[in-house]
Amino acid sequence: MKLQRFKEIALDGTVRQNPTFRLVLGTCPTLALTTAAIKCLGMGAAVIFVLVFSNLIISLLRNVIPDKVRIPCFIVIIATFVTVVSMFIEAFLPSLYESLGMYLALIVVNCIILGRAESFASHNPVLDSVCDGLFMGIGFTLSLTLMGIVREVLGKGMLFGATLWNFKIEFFAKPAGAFLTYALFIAIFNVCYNAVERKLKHKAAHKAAVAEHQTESAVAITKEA
Amino acid sequence: MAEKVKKPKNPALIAAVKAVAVLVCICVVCVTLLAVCNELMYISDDERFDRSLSKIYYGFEKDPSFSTTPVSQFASNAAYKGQVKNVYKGKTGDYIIEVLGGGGYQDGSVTLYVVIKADATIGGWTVKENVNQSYIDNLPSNAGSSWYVGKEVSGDLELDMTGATVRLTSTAINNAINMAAYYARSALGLGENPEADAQEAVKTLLGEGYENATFTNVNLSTATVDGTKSVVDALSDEDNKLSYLFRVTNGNDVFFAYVYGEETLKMVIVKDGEIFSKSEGVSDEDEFVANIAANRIYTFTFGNYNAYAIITGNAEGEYTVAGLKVGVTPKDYVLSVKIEADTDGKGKVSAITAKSNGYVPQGPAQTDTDKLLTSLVGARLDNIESLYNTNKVTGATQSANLIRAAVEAALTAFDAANASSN
Repeated sequence: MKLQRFKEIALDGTVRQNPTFRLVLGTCPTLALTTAAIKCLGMGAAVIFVLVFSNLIISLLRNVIPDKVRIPCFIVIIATFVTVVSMFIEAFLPSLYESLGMYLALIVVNCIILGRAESFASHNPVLDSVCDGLFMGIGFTLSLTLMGIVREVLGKGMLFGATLWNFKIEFFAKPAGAFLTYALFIAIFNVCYNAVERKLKHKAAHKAAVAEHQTESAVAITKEA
Repeated sequence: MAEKVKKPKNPALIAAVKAVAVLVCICVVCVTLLAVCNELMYISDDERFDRSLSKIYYGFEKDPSFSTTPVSQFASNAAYKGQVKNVYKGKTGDYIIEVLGGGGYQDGSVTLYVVIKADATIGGWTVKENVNQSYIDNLPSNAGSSWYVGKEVSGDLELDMTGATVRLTSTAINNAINMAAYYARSALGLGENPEADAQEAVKTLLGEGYENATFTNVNLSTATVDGTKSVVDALSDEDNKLSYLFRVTNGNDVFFAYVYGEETLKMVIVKDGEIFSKSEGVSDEDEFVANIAANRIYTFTFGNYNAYAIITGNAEGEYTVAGLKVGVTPKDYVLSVKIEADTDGKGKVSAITAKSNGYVPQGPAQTDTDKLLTSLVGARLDNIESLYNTNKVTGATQSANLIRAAVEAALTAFDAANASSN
């Protein structure tokens, strides 16, 4: 895989097509689990595992799976990896398993996973698909953890379970607080993203204009000569 | 010889077979992978038990000679909506009780492991599982090692959850803890057991032939007699509060045993509405004895339901009577039932008015319940069952049973009064 392609996939997964703030996918765990940052990291790790391995297998089998049964096949593969990760967390990280509760099993119906399988892994080579799963998962984990940090600090006065101070605004730890925090994050992320994109476009246009001007000047000098 | 004609292949059939074959292959591979993972990461019941306990109790070693099956007589208690599932005894003499407590959020429940120490105090508790308790994570992380810890199991334990924001889940936990405490004092003989003491005192008062009598604690504390006043309030006075009301039977006779006081027990035993026996120091002039006579209790069994009725007023044949259901979900249905003497002198219902209802059925069931009230006008003791069976309500069985119990109690009281006056 070319470095440029790798960069594109990495940037798409974490920023340009960030599943949480740009595509607004995986909203259920985003709202429910962001009461504590540690839960977000756990959930993110589980989603990365499932995304990477389901993308890997689906990409490997993309020429074998008939189009008409692709969705059942994807679901079976995704559900298998979700069950594996669920068994692993229950066996080795029981406290995380308890805190994630039913949301761990609900990864099966997370739109990010099926979405990437359908739109990317089933059309692209194995390495690209694995990278896509990895960076989509990282994007999801970063978004969740960021929201988790904000809600935990504001709503509980804690960070990763450690008490920071006694001041807390309980609203942020409640479901309504989750919606508000999510909306604010989407707004801020998109405002920043659009500003940066405009700046980059402007920069590129300026660069192109300068290049054109230089070319024209060179042509004129040549003609004069 | 004719040449063999080759049939053209059906591409749709081939595609379908291929699709099914691929799907089946994927399923088989996935199942194999899961089977291997399950073998590698299987968690045994003992491991789960140790994990749950590790938060509150270190190094619990089970006594293998102790049966984990709870004593059925004490394994459930409607007052706490509770049920003991398993009991483990440690080599140190401490017990772990796996207990379910109801009454939580959305009528759900919690199942706890409760540590009962050999000195009859609570050593801690931890949640094993829950049903519908969506906000159980809001409980403080140290709740199991601080709430109730050190309290004796001798009596009912009050909610000990300062600062908890999960009120209904806390109620379910409180019920589970109380159920465990009840089991510890009743079945394991830990601490004091005032209920068992009261039952022994009643047996002594009843005398010979009642050594093996069975007791049902008629927990009526949440049922009301007029929509507001509880049954306990109706049967108590300023100095004497009803502690227990037992339905006692030796298989032949049925009694109600009213037990007052905690240290010095005062008892009144009633049979067929008449005072059968009293403990020493209780006189007919006592206010609570008058309360018992003025608020007669009847018991009925309709199919699987045990319904009670209490008559609290009688003005010129118009009885105020509450049908009561005890158990996991206590209910009350308070009626005004007017009874008149029929041609043969037996009581006949001439009017029924609903005064209050502790349980309101929804939609058509409520309309049917209202119809049942009307259809029981004209009922006598000898035809109430057939009238009820014709008009009973589908979807509001409990309400219908309470109405029937209330009307039947009023008719019984009327006939008994007429028989004694004749």
